[in-house]
Amino acid sequence: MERVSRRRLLAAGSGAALASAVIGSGVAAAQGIRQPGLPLTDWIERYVLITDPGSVGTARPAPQPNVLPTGPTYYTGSIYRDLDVTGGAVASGAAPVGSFKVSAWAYAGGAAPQLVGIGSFDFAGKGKVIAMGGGSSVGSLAVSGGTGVFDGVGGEVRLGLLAPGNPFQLVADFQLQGQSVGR
Amino acid sequence: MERVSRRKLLAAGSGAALATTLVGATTAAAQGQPTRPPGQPLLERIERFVLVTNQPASDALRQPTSPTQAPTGPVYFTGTLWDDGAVSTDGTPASGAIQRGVYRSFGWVYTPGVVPLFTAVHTFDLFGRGQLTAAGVTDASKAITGGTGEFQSARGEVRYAVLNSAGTALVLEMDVVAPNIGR
Repeated sequence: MERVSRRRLLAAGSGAALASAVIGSGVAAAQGIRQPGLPLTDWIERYVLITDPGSVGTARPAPQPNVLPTGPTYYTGSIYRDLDVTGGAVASGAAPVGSFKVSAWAYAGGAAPQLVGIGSFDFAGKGKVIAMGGGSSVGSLAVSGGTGVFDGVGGEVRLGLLAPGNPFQLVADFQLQGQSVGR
Repeated sequence: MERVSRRKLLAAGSGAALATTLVGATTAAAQGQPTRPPGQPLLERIERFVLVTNQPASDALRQPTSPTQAPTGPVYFTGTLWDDGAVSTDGTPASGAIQRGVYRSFGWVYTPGVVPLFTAVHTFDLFGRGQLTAAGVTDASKAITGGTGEFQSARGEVRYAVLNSAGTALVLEMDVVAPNIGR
């Protein structure tokens, strides 16, 4: 997990420094910049979401294997640190840092469905981030709030494919704006 | 579409002035300058759109009793967003009108009918600006839960009124409280 102050990102300046801060070795994660007396109100955490295909639920029958039907659907899976997943494989010994659950309506089915709905991202020992919105596996969801250290947060979750053609593994950037400093 | 500062509305004072501003003849829009303290962003604004429902593209898990009536149960509604005044009362866009966005929602209808009542997650995807998300029951207003793009971390409410008896067009008033100035 990484947490990077937006101010730090902006202050980083060059593309290389920015990429380093975002993609994140431990350097940026260690020090969020904040003004004295003020909380860190904007930070980014990056994870990989791995959906459990066997737990996907749909109200309508799938027209064929690996093709999602339209209608109500449910996804669940595990959340990993981004650096714990390489080339679609979870590093040996890496443990998930949380789990997610999504309830949505697939308005366009198929191998890469488009959904509108709500998701809960439960980070063990920290709390939940709640996000909602519409789109596909590449796009953004609005953060509507959270629990624990995410109490009162806003922001958005940006999603992208970890590997082309595989909507079951997504990179998720949580850009959070909170009233607390996070963890 | 109009954007009116709440301070301006409050400053308008009398009920007549308030009604004029809200109902939105061209006065406020023509003045075009929301009032804001120097150096401070515009934190609250009102935008008005017309939602034209797309009934063929909407969907329901249960079979409707008639083609124009939504059944109870899980549903998906979608439609298009237009500038206030760009759509006639029957939902037909005026010549040259520009579509501003797409509406999608996923919920549960608890009172069926031509204009059903339902509890849902709503997304208003405004082209080039971002998504505004709202949640709640469709009685008179829904709570804004957040957004993406320029609506990131937005709060406020979306009020609506039915424009015709067929329920195919609705006026939406987005009272947005946001940490940024919007467009």
